[in-house]
Amino acid sequence: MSEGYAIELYFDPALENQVLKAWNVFARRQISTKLINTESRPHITLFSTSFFDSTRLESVIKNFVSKQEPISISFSTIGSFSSDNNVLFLSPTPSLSLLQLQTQLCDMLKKESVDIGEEYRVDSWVPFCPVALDVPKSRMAEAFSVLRDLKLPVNGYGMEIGLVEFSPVREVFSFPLGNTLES
Amino acid sequence: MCCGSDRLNQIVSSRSSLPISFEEDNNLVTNTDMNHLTVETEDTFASLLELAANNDVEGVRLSIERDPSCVDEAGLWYGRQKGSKAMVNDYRTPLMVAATYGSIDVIKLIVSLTDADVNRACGNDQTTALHCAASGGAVNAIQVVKLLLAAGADLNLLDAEGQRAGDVIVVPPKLEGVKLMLQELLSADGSSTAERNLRVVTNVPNRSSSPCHSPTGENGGSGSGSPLGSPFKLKSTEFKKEYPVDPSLPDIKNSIYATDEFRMYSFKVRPCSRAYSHDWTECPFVHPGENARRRDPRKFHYSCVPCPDFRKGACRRGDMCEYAHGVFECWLHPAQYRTRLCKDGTGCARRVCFFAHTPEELRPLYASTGSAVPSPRSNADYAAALSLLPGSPSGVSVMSPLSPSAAGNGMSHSNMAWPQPNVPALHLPGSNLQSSRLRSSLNARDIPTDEFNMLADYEQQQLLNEYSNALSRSGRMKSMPPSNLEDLFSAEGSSSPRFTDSALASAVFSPTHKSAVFNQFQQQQQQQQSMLSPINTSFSSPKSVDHSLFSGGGRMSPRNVVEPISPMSARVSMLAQCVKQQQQQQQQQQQQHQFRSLSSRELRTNSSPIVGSPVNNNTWSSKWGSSNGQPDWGMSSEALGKLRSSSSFDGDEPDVSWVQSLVKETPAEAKEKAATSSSGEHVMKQPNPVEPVMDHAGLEAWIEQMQLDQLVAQQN
Repeated sequence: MSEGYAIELYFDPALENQVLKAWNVFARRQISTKLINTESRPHITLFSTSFFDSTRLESVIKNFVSKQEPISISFSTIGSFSSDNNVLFLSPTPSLSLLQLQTQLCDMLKKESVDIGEEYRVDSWVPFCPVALDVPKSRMAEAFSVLRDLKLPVNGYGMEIGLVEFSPVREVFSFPLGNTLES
Repeated sequence: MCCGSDRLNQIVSSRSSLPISFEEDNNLVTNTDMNHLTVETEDTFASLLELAANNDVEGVRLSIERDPSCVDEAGLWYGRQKGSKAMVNDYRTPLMVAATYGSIDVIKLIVSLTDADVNRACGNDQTTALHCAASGGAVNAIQVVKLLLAAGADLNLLDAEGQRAGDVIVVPPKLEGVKLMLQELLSADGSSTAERNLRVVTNVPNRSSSPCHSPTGENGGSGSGSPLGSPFKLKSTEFKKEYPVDPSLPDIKNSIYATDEFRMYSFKVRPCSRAYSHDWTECPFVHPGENARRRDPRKFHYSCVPCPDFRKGACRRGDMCEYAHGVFECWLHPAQYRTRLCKDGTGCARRVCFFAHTPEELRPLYASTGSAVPSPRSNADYAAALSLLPGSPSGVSVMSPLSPSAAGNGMSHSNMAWPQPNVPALHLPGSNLQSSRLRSSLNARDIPTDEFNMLADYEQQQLLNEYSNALSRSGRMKSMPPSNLEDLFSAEGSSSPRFTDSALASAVFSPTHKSAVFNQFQQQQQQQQSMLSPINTSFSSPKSVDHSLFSGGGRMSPRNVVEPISPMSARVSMLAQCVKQQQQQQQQQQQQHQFRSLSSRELRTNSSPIVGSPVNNNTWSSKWGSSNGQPDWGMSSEALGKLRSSSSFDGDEPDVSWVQSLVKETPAEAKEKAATSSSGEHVMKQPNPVEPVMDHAGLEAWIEQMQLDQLVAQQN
């Protein structure tokens, strides 16, 4: 059934629409449609694991998120992992607030006896926002050109943290950062 | 749209193969072809929606030139559903995508074309361009909304979920100003475009710039500060105004301390318990060394008469003195307090006033005199009391000589005074008898004048009785028995003529008034008995004397008497004159006694009101006369009998008093005298052999009776 769970950071509408622009262009040019097909939402993955006791940890995450504030996010670079399945991503500037958010989240989960993977530990985590998955090698250059048309950098805010189960992506719960209601 | 995309895919695949073949044949040709293909590829691949999202005006223009109908073609666009977190892949027009991303230039180009429909709604959610602009969250969303509204966008259109553009406004954080502007633009239905523009221009700087916010905050802070300050001031003011009144401070003017009961029995009697200094004149309690100090009238039996020793400087008897020490003890005494009206009336501003300010405040007069007055003669007694009131302080002060030292002097004076009146008394009766005969024979009309004189004497006798009662009352307080005995006898002597007056009065009145007069007579006897009841057995003899008087009257009634004639009236006038002469003698004796007892100047000054009392007597007599009209001259057998009995007693009393005054006898001997005096005949017989003076008095009485007998014999 489930490939796994992920805790994701979501963006404000403007920034989200900018990321969606890339998704839509890749889809219309038939470069990559996987993100849209899986009904994903533009995000930065803070943590991912194969198993997650969502019932027990929902209140814990809710308390954690309520103590946080929206953080500034700026997508400034285009990247790709050479060892992965041809993923293209936008990489946010690794600001201190973003790194601290991810570190505190993992520490809290560790206290709850959750196993933290190697790639999400301190000094190992690489924040990224995926924009294309499984891009054919022959069309990699074209995809890069499309991303360059985005006129980076694009700025915005991280507004929510939610738990999703994939694939396909289904939101389990999500809470806004801080006590202010989502506007 | 899917067919279109398929075509694009085929074109891409075919063109991608062509460059490869060109490279194998010719490098130059291949290079040229590749450049051309690249340009074409880019133009062809980029769809209109992409161009709109990227605000690529040239791209959009080329696409429209190539295919004008493309401007309204809807294509799939993946995005968030309005008002929710769900992501949907729905159809959007280029105008909608441009509105979502805030592509101002593309929007201007599209709205300028006549083919474009600004209010077109498409997709499952029936969203319009205005909805996309409101929920896109672009930085320049305000300008986009203004352009769309100017182009004729209808802000009241509803989407599939019944939401207007104003209902789906979404903005990034820290751009609340933009949100407010969007709300204002999308909710102002009645406003015109021009007014909205003006409003936009005015409001944007105020709400978006941070320097404006901080002054607002400061103003708010100062605004909240001033209300906090003013309540504080008001609170302090209220605290001062509501300074609590000390309930422990007694106020003389309060109802509790202004009652008659408190004033008479507690004012300046109980010591003050306050330990701090305060105004003694405002405090109803006494303080050490205060002149207003009073003794409790219920514990120390003192009178309202001021003590002369205390007035001079010091009274040796201290609190045991029976006279008032100081003004407060005198005028706050229950016998004096508020028994007369204040001269200032209701305008009196004194803290503690001894007098009444309204008739309701006046206390009963009989309380001040200390004697109960019979109700049938309340009017007469009231007039008598009024005459006493002006002189009551001085009248009461006359008794101050009765203190131990003054009493001794008074007694010695009285002893010396008694023998002197005896000599004139012996002569006066004879001369009066002769003059009375002449009057009766010469002018019969003088009788009414004699009647009025008798009434005046009656009132004067009553006044003297009041004094004697007070004297005897104060006398009882003394510890010296001899003084008490003498005072009691003198009181008895003075009260006897009163009974005689009553008998004579009954003879003068008409039959309708007889019962009233007789009742008064009985009340007087009861009063005497009540006064004498506390006395020990040695004083019981005067009581028996009273009883004999009453029984004597009873024995006289059975006698038979013929109807009266004119000679009887002459006889009555003669008897009246005799009684009058005797009364005058007694009055002279008492007055001399009083004048000699007045030793101090103050007492002499106080005696002047006593001199004024005859005027009141005249008033009383005139009032008495008017109430009764002319006396009834009709005589009855009972009246005649009383006259005879009273005449006989009148003859005996002077003898008894003379004997007492001349011979100082022991109480036992006095008792024997009283017993013997119960019989008139015995009294007449005994004086003869004792002394020549008494023989002369007895001879005169005998002569009078012989004359009466002769008159009766003549009538028979």
